[in-house]
Amino acid sequence: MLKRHEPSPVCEKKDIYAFGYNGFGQFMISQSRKTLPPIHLLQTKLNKLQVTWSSITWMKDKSIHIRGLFGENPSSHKSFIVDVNSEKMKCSCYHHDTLFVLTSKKKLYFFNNITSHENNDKLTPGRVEENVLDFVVNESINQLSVVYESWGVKHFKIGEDSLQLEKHFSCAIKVKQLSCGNSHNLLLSADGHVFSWGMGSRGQLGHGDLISQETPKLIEILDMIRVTSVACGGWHNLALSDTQDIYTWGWNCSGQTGLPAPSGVFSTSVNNKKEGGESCGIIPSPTLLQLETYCLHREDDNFISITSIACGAKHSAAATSDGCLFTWGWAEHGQLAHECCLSGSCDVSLSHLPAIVPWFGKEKLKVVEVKCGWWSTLASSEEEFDSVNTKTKHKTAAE
Amino acid sequence: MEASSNKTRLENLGNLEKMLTWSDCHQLVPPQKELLAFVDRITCNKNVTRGLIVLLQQACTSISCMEYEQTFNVGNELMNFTWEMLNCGHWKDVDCCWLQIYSLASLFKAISLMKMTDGRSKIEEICRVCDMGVLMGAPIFDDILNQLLKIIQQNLPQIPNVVEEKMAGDCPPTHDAGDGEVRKSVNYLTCPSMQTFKYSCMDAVEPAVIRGCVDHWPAFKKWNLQYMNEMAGHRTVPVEVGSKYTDDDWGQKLMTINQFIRECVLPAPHGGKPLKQGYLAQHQLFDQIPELRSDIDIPDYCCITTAEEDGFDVDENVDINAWFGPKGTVSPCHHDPKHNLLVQVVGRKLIRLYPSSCSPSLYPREDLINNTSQVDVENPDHQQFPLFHQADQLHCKQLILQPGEMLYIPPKYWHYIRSLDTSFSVSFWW
Repeated sequence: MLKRHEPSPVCEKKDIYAFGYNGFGQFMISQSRKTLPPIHLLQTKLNKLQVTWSSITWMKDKSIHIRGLFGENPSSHKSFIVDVNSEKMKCSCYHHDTLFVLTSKKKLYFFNNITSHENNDKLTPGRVEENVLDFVVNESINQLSVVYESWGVKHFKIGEDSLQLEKHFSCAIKVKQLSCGNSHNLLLSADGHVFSWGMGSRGQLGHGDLISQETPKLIEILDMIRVTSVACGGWHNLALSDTQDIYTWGWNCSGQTGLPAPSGVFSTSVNNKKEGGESCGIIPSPTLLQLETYCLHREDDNFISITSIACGAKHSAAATSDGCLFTWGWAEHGQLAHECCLSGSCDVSLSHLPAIVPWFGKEKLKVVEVKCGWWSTLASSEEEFDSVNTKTKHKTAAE
Repeated sequence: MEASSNKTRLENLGNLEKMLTWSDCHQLVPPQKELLAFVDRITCNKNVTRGLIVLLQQACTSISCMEYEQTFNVGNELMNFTWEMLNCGHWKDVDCCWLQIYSLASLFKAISLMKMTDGRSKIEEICRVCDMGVLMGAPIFDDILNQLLKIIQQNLPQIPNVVEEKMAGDCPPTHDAGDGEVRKSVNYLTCPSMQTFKYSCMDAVEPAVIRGCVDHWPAFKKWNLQYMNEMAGHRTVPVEVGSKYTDDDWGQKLMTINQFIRECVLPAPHGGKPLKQGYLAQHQLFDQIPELRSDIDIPDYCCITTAEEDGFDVDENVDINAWFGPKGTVSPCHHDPKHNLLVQVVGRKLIRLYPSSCSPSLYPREDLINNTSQVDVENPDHQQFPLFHQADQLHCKQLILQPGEMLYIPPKYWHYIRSLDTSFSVSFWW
């Protein structure tokens, strides 16, 4: 069993492991369309890496690397040097023909037509948006969402040759984080409140009903707690409180909220009864997720504390303070890496209840932070403190 | 987009002289050039993300090169991604290109499975893949999925017999509601002329039971549980589970017709009610299973339109739905925007009708399903819905619809339906 540790500071470079969908060769160049068991991807800080459905983008020194689908070519690996006015790069993401780079000076640089450039070219930006706090790219719907300091939010449609402003509204919220799903969005304010807007028919807005909202509406049920981070999946969400608890809501067709899912039923059931093993298709209000229920062999009776959360299309992941990684939801493309998925003994199309990913424990790795791609999961980790055996050298997939 | 009308498909099926065998099934698939051109056409200017187009092109190429494992894997990813897109936004707003892509992905997956599993071991899975494409997608390449299903049907294993329960004595037709109230009846007409029907029913906005018009249907000789099981037992259909669509526990579950009959229609093995509550309701079964379509016939009255319309094509413009379920299924009181002829084939249904002038007394819901009443018609809450009682006494018309009869329900006319036996009805909306 893993020993308890103080969580490591997440601002150091760590080993990043990845598992899940590899249909575009974004994790490893191979015929395999699924990356299982997890592979060592690269060494970096997890927030320097962005993962979409078909590609990954990461920053190293002054370069930006893209792996996976690039233009019309899968299994590509390109790197570029970008001119961001010597500002420090915070995060970057590639989609279709554009590279988006956000700097610490709150500027969002757009590098267009990069698919017409040669590898290692130096790129000059086109458009620059100022006062940007955060941005999200949703590959499925070709959308770019941007949140501006003391102004509001803009949703753009990333077209063939252009960026079209689709929706925008002002909101006076001091924003800490923006997260976007396939048809809904979340804003986390600096003082720990959560706002949602978009489609509501799967309960994903968290207001206890199925009504859609045009502009951000405060999720009142979460008002009593202080939320430190949020994660939007396709149609579901997780929120992490400052007491390290997880709240979950939204669509549960594949068990992505962590609560039992109805099998084979496309349900609009909004029953929230969980006793007696009743399952729900939709969780319309944020509900505390007790992962202790799914932990069979804990040594002590303490509650599980969560340090990091993430959501993909129909799956979720959470890292605990003692270095375990929980995943749950849809397993079909290897994004959960449960024991049964690795041994091929489960029906991957069925919803999976939360379980610890045993691979990390076996490799004597402590998971520090987690991130999800659309159909994949990534974890940053470090070696266990008291690991005395020689570790197997992991073949580094990148770099 | 490939145009495909019901008529063409029926003609095709009737005229098929050379039936392809299982091992030749891939010959149904258009050549690579045509596949790629199709992908190009349906995704052009449609905001489809590039990665999906790349996968589509990969699958078109690999199926043409007979690389079936690759086609299966990519086809599966395509189905999963497209399914996600079908769930973005409201169903009615979904671009039809996603329906076509879903069908194409189902085709890739089905053909690959058929070619990879020569021993027919996965036949039920293949049948289900095709059905998903038919149910969720849009017809492509001359309704290719239905053509595939014809080949599959010939190879399906014998389905376990269903034992039909005997009806416990025939109940005489009665208008007694059983709740002590005496209610008005509807008009009964026998084979009215088109003119009489239009004048007395449609123009007058009056419901009526029509007799003698559907006696010629083969359905009356053939339809029972065993027949349904034999004709379509392997086919996947969407079944409504939970008590009624206004309840919190309502949902739709995909299951085969055999499973539906065994779990939701027949009594449980130990006797009593069926194992699960389910109703195959409002489903275009006759589009999905063309063999059943030839057991019924669109009533002539469906040609009558109250608007001036030239060239009204009955096949194109009449929605035919199947309603198949056990005793006790309930359709809560609601109204529909179109004319409705409800034909009763098997079993009896208790029906209560209210004119649209009663709407305030029926307390329509204020949410998205605002064509539905909040009142439980057979067990009304008089405190919550005080206006209902008087409207019920003054205006309610009640009948028990018998096999061989059809009920005309005018547009916007409120109707409540409960089945008194295992029941099969066919509705025509125009």
